[in-house]
Amino acid sequence: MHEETSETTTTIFDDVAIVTVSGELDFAHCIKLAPELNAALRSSARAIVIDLEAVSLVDSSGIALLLNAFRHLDHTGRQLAIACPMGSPRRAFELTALDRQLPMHETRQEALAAVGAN
Amino acid sequence: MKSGEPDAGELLGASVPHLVPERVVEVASAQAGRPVAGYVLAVEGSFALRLAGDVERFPERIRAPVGVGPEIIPEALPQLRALVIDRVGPSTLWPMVVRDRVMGFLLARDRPGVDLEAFAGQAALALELASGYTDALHAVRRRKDTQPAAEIQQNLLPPRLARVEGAEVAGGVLPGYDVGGDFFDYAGNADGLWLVVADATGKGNSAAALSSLAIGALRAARRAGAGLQEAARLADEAILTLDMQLYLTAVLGSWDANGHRLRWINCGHPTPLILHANGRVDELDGDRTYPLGIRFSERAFPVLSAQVAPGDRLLLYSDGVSERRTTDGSRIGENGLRAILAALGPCSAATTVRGLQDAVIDASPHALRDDATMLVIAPTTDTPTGHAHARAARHG
Repeated sequence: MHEETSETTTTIFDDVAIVTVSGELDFAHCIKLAPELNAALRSSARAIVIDLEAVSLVDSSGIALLLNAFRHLDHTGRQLAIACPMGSPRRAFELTALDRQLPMHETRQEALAAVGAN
Repeated sequence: MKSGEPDAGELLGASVPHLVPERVVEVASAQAGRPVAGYVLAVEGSFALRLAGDVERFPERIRAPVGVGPEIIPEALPQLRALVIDRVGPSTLWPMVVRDRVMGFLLARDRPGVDLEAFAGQAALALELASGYTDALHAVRRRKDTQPAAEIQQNLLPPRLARVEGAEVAGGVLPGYDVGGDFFDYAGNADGLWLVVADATGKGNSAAALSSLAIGALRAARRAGAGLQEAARLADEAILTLDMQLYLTAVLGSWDANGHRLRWINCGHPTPLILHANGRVDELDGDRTYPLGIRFSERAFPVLSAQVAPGDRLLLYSDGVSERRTTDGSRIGENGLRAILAALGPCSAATTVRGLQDAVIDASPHALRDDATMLVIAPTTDTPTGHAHARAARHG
C-alpha cells in the first residue's frame, strides 16, 4: 500500500523546542510522535512550537495527542503554538471545534512569533 | 399458524435455552416432512451461518452480504434467496422475523408442501428470547475471534434496523470484530426519536470503557426526561470524572415525527448530512462545541435545528467512514462520501447503510483501522401502525 512517509524531528531555537511533523498525523504516526513530543514537553524549553505545515491530514488520534500536550504545558505555565495551514490539515481542528481553543497559527513563522522566538 | 405447531412460548418452555435452535429445526423438519436448517447472519452482515440443522445437507456458511449487522435487510431477501439457491441448489427459505427484524431464516431443500412462514415467526421470537440466556446464537454469529472492546460495542448497540413513529432507522458499525470505541444509539419515544452517533478517542479497551460510560450517561439522562443540553452536560461530566485524558465526539439529536424537526448538538463530530429526494446533499453545519470530556472553561451546548421531512434521509457518521484509506493511498474524504451517496441514489435507510458499508469495505483490500459508524433516519409518509406485518407481530 502506498502511504506517505511520516516523520518527526525536534530542533531547539531561542530556547523553544520546535517539533516538525510531516505526512499524515494518524494513529500509527502518533505512536511514533508521542515519545518525541514527550521529550520536548519534559525538556527545559520555555515554549513548544508544533509545526504541522508539512502535514497532509490530522485524525482524531492526532487531535488527542496535541490536546494533551496543550493541557500538560498549560499546567506547567509554558506556552504552546501550533502551526497548521488552512485546508485539509486544519479540518480536524475545525470539526472538533478545537481550532477556537488551541493556539492555532497559519505558518511556522507566526507560531514562532507568538511565543516570542525571533 | 396451523394448530399443532408450537408457538414461541412452547418452543422456549420445552427446551433449555441452548437447545432452542435444535428444537426449532426439529419441529420445522417434522412439519416440512424433510430436513430443515436454521441460519443467522454474522455480526458484520456478510455471511449466513448455520445455527442448527444437518451438517451433511446444509453448508456451514453461505456468503450473503445482505445484512446491517446481524439483521437481514428486508428488501434484500430476493438477493438472499438467489445466493442461497446458487449455493445449495433448489430450496425454500422462510425469513425469521421479529417485528421488523429479519434475524435469520429457515431453509429446506426443494419445495415442501407446507408453508413454515408463521412458524418461522414463532421460532424467531423463541430464539431472540433464548439468546438472552445462552451464547448459542452469539457464538454462531461471530465468524472470528472478537476483541473485548468490539464485544462490548456489539452489546451496546440497539437493533440495527427499526421502524419508529414516522421514520425508518438503520445503523451499523464496522469492522465489528475488533477496534471498538464508536457507537450509535436511538430510542423511539413519545416525545420523538432520540439519536446519537459517537466516537471515543483512541481505540480498543480504553475507548470501549469511555463509550460504555458515555452511552450509560446518555441513556440515563434520556430515561430521566432530560433534554438534549442536559444529556450532553451529564455525559460530559461523567467522562471528566474518569480523568483519563480521553474524549468523545458526538452528535446528539432528537427528531419530531409530527413537525419533522430535527434538533441536535454537535460536540466536535463530523457534520451530519441530509440527502434530499432530488439527490442534493447538504451539510447540517452550524455552531458546534468541542468534544465531551474536555473542560476549558464554562461550556455551552448550542442546539441547532433543521427540517428532515419524508423523502429526505439524515446521515450521522463517524470519521472512520470519511478517513477510510483507499487503494491509491488517499482517503475517502468528505467529497468521496458525497459521491458514494449520490451513486446510491434513492433507497431505504437500511440499503443506504449497507451501500455505504460496502463502499467503505471496498475502498481498499486492507482491513479497517478505525471504526466506521453510520446512522440513517428516513422519514416516511405512512404511520407505523399502518403496516400490516407490524399488526400481525403485535397480535401474533
